[in-house]
Amino acid sequence: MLSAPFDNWWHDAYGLDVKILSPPHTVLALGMLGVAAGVLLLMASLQNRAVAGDHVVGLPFIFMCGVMLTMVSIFLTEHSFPNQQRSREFYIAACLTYPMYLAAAARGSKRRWPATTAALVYAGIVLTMLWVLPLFAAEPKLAPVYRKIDRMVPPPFPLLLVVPALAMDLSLRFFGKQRGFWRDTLLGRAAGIVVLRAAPADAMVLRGVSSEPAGGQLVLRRRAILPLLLQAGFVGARILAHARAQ
Amino acid sequence: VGSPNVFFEGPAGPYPIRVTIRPPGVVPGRAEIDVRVLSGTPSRVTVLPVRWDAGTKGAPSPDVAVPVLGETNLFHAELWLMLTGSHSVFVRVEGPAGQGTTLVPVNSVATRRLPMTSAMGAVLLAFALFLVAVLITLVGAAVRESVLAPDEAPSGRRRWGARGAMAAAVVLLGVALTGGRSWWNSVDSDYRNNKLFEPDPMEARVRTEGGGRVLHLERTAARWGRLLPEHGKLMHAFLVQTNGLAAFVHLHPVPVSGNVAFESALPEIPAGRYRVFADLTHESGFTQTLVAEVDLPAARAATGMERKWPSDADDSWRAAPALGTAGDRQRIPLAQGEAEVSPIGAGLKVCWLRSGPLQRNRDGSLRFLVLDDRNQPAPLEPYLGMLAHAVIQREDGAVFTHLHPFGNISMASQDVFVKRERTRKASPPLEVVCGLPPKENVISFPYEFPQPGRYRIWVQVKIGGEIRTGVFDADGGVTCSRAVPSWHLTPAPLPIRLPVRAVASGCGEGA
Repeated sequence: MLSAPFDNWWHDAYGLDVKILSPPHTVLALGMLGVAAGVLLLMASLQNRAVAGDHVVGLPFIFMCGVMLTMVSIFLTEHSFPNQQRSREFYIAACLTYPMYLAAAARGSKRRWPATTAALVYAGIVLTMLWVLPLFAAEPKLAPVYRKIDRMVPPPFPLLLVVPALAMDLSLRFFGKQRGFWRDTLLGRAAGIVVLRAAPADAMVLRGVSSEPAGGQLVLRRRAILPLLLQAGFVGARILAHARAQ
Repeated sequence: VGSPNVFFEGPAGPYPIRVTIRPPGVVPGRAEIDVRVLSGTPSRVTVLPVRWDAGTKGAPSPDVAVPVLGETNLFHAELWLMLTGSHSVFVRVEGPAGQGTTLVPVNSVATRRLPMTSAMGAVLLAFALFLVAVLITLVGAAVRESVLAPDEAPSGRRRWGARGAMAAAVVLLGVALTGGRSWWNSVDSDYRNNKLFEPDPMEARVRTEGGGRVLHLERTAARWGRLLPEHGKLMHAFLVQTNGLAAFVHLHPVPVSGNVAFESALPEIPAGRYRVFADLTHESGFTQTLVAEVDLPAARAATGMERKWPSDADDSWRAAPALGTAGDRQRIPLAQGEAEVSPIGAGLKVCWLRSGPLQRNRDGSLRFLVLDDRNQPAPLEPYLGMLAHAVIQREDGAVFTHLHPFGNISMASQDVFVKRERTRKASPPLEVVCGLPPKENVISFPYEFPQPGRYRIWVQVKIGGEIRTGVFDADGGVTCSRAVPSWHLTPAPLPIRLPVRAVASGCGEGA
C-alpha cells in the first residue's frame, strides 16, 4: 500500500516508469512477495500439523512455491526475454532468485519431487497465460505505435526451471532429507551450479560481471558474484528447513 | 521559455476552435487538453497524439474529449505523451455542420523537477520505519516459535537463534535500503543530467564593424537535427535589454556558417546588457528557444564601412521607458471599454482592451485594436505571414513567449505534420491554418500567464510597409489567485478529475 503514493509521486517527478523494475515498483514487489511468503508459511504450518500419511495437505505449500517462482519470473521479465538470456543481467538475476525458491520448496516440503512440482506449477501458470491471453482482442492505446497488435500479448515461453529442479530433487534423495548445515550448503550450491551451468555462456557471465557497473544498479564485482550466486540456494534451503517440522 | 503551455486558435473544418494543451512537464506524462468550440453545435470532439516519426499510421485510436459540465462547447481530454520529441495533437470536431480536423504541434520534453515535500517525505519515512520494524520482529518470531506446537515455550537456543536472526535481518535490510537509496539517487541524477530538457547552448557576441555593431550568435551544440525556415527565416531572434526591458529588437539573423552561426546588424539601441532569445524550428517539427546574454558596446561614429541596418527587411526595434515607469502610456474610452494606449508613430496607436486584472493560469487572451489618428481601425498588412505578433517577457527573463493570433505554435512545425500526412492515402484533409479572421478589427492572442510577476508586452504590426511596435506593461503585474485555476472551476465530468495540477502548480513556488 505504501508503494502506491510513492509510485504516484514518482510518475509526477520522473514520468511514468514504463518498466517493471523501478524503485517504487520494487517496493510493491517486496510487499507482494511478503504477502506470498506469509501464505507460504501458513501452508508450511498446515503441512506441519497434518496427521501422518496425509499427503494432500502438503500440496498447497508446493503450489505457493510455484506461485512465488512465477511472481519472481514476472519481476525479471525485462531481463529474461530469449534474446537476453546470454546477458549478465539475466544470469545475476536468475541465479540470485530461482535457486532460492527451488531449494526452499525442496527443503520445506514433505512430499516427493517437491522442487520439480513447484517448477511445473510455475510452467503451468505461465503456459496458461501463453495459451489463454491471445484469445482476447486488444489494441495499443498509447502513441506512437510502431508495431500493430490486435491480441493480448502473453509472456514468453517459461524458463525450463524444471531441469535444475529435477537435479535438486535427485540430489536431495541422495543426501537425505534430514536437516543439517552441510546438507543445506551442498543442496544450495548444487542448485546454484545447476542454474549457472544451464546455459553454455557462464564464462562470459563471470567476465561480464566485472565490467563497469552502472551507477546504482546491482553493483557486483567478479570476486563477490560467485559466492553470492551459490549462496542464494543455500539461504532458501536454510530458511525453509527451519520452517519444516521433522 | 518558462511558458510550456500551447495555445492554438483556428478552424477545424466548419468549426472555429481554441485549443489549450498543458504538457505534463515529464516524459512519459499526461497532457491536459481543452478544446473550446467557439461557434456551432459540435456533437463529438476527439483528440489523437501523433509522433512526428510515426504519423497517424502509428497512432492509436483517438480519445473522445468529454464535454465539461456547466460549460458550453468546452471539451476536455487527457493524452499520454510517451516519448520525448515533436508531437502533434490532431483535434477532430464533428457536428451537424460537418467535420473537420486540425493539428496542434506540441513538444514532449521533461521540463520540471518535482521536489519531495517534507510532509510526503515524513509519511514515507514513517511507513518505511514501521515496515522495517515489523519485518525484523517477524524474522525473530519465525525463528523463535514458528515450528513449535501451540502453548509450547521456546527453548533458550531458539531465543538466541531468533536474536541472531534479527541482528542479521537488520544488517541485510540496511544493505537493501542503502542499495535502494543509491538506486533512487542514480535515477534522479540521470533525470537531471540526461532527461531534463535544456535548449541547445548558444553563444552571443557583438563585434564592431566600422562604427556599427554586429550581433554574432553561435549554436555550440545542435542536438535536434536540421533547421526549417519559419515564415521564411531560419532564426527569429529577440534582444531585450535586461535593465527595465527598455529596448527591444526583433531580428532575423542570417546564417554565416552552415546553420551554426548567425549574424545580424544592430540598430541604434542603447549600450548595455541584453538577453537574446532565438526561436528555432527543426525538421522533426521540434521547436526550441535558445537563450543567451550579451553586453552591447556603445555605437561609434559611422565610418561608412558598417553593415547596414536592417540585415533583413523584417527586422524592427523599439525603445521605450523602463518597465514600471509611467512613460508615454495613456488610457482612452472606446466602445469596447477603457483601453490602454501605446502610440506607434504617425498618429497611429495600439489599444489594449483589458478585461479585469491578469491572473496566473487564467484565460488571459490579449486583445488589441490598432487605430489611426481619427480613431478608425488602421488597415493592417501581413507581417511575416501574420496580422500581428506579440512578444511577452517577464521582468527577469524567466518567462518569454512569442505569440500570434493563432497561438504560440510553430507554423513550420504544423507544416511538417500536414505534409507528412498528405503522403498517406487515407489521411484526413488537413491544412496549415493562420488562425481565425479578426472580429471587428480586434486582434486577439490566446494566452495564459504561467507565472505571477511583472510583464512587458510588445505588439508588432505592419502598416503602410512599416513595422511598428506598441509597448505595454502588465500593470500591477500578473497576480496569483488562491482560487483553483479556471479549468478546474468547472464541475468535473465523470469520472471525477482530481485537480492534481492545480495543487502541483499552486501559488507560492516561483512567486
